[in-house]
Amino acid sequence: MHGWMGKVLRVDLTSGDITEEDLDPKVARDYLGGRGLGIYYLNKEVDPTCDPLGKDNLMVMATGPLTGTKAPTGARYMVTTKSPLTGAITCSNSGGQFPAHLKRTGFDALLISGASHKPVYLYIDDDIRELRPAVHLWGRTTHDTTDQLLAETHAKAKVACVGPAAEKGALYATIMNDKDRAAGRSGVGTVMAAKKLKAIVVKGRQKITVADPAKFKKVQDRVLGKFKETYKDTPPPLRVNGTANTVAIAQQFGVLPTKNFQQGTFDGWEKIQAKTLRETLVVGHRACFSCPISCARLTKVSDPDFAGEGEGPEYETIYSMGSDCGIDNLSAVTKANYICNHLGLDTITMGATVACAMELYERGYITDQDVGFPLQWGDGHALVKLVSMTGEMEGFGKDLALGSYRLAEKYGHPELAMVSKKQEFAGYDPRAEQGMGLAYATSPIGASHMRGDPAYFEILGIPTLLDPLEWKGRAKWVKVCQDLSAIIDASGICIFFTMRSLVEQKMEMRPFGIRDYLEAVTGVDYTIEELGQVAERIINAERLFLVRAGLKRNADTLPPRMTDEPIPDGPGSGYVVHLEEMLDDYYQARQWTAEGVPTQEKLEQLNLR
Amino acid sequence: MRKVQPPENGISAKGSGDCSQNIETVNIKVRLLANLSSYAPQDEDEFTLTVARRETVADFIKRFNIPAQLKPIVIVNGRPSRSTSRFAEGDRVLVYEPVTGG
Repeated sequence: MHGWMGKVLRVDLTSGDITEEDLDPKVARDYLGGRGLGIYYLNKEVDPTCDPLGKDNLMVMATGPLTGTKAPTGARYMVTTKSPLTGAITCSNSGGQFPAHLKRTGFDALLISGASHKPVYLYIDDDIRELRPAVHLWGRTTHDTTDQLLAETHAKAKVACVGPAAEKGALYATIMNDKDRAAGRSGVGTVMAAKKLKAIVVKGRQKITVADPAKFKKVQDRVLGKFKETYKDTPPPLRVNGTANTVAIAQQFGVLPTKNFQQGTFDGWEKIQAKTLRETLVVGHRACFSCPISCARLTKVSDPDFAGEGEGPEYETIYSMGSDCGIDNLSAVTKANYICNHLGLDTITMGATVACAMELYERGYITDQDVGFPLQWGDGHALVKLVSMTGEMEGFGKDLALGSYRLAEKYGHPELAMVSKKQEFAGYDPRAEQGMGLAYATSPIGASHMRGDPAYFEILGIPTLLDPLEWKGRAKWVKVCQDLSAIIDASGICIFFTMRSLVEQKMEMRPFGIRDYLEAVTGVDYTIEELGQVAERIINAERLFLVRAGLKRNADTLPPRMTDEPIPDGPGSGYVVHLEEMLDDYYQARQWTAEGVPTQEKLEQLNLR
Repeated sequence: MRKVQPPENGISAKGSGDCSQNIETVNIKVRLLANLSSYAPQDEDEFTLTVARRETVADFIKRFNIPAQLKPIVIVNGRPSRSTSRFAEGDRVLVYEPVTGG
């Protein structure tokens, strides 16, 4: 096989057995890799009703056929497992350097099952595949753990690990790789820690072969040539501003979540926008493996109250810990981001949960006694303190570690949690971005902007700009962008490069560029139609897992604030999400029943059972 | 390059407050994001511009000499604009290259 390594590594943490298996070429062709391989193995081997933190849950870490190649942004891997936050399937994606090295150990995927009695880490280097004791690492931060593991294995190895938050059971703990890159969502780190697996250390030495090097070079010259030509006078916007660029755009469209989604515009937005970040905190930028963009922000905070150095914040963190908490202090947001990275917490859910707590406090549903101190909107010091308390599971931090849904439910007001399938929204108020509302509700992993991102055509202008307030006819485009995401997630590349450079710039968004790379790398003569089938297979397979776990239309929901309370400000003022109407259209477009269950006909068409 | 082009009617970029009473012109608040800020006048990514009432969005974008391959889009008061639409007093105008993400 080319592009694929042709093998997966099975690690049974209960018995300690580590075995190699061949990757079936037909499975590779039908599911590509990454997210596709993840759901393939989950459906085959996991009872969807299992305890996500029990030994019966499986964690799949999979790269795609383009990961580790020179295809631009071929840097990604996906963690797929059953989530302790949502009770649904989850897949969370990360870049950096770790994924390419993981693949170069010779495996397309790691299948991690069972649970160890004592903390261990997995080390893979050439013929070494070992579970080693990690008692000395338990309790240590992600950065300390990484430094220690590099010292005791190989200086050029790459590390993915969990932090104290995961070990202590916070439901939205991350797996951090290369210190500051995160497979961040839905508690994938919590699952890894429940298996007592502290880290995975890889030293990749194998070559990834390309089926047709001449064709690959031709595609590469065309794609990168165009990219260079486009940016011959100015750098790409994501290099200039990072994802924080989106703050100004979200504010204008009135979708910048503010005070737990009570508003869509934030008075203090200029203090948290990209320009402010660039001029006050940014000291450099960093690229993932094989990326021409370089969007990661390296920052340094000098304010003594929040001093530190590290990576971030991204747009999503600025929304969740900034505007959503009414906080206009970028130093506080950045410090809270650093703490999340060190302790291993998802910055989106963390910030949104603090925002939910702030609203509970404002309304008198929680008090100083519950929190331990006053909790006012805009209090950056309280944010930083609460993030540490959550990661360390101290006091009110234990409540926050449950995520906003369980927190709000505990205090009698679950309607104040801005979630779908108990996972917190990304940084777009869907009342002024209708397609995003449908995407949150139908994302298999709970609210997410990464399993299909309508923000591209509703506010960012790719491939073109549609009216974000229009819900009629929106479902089919949400399906199109969800299908595209499945291909991106399964190929091992990054959406940031793909959307403008590898996808047709029409609303059909056919992935011609991805197809060309896949064909050159794997030698499989993929057509656009076959890739469409691959995307649908992945999404329907995920849906089957959800249906078997009891999640159908009844779980494709948004909180009443989104469907019953009109947004009070911005260009969408007066709008709610037209979810039920869009859901009907969406299920029809997917050939699912009115209850959101894939039809037998659809499953047969995709060779799914 | 990177100089604001006077539009056909000869009215050029001016600071806030200029011509605010002129019924033939309107003052709009313009922001150019990220890489496009290098095409702004006087190195400011946000500025007030006085434009003719008859100036269209298409005329407006030509002022900045932004290379065509960057495909700049123009948002007025948080709503997508048409190339033929015109401005009103106090409009907030955001211009960016459609490449970003969150």
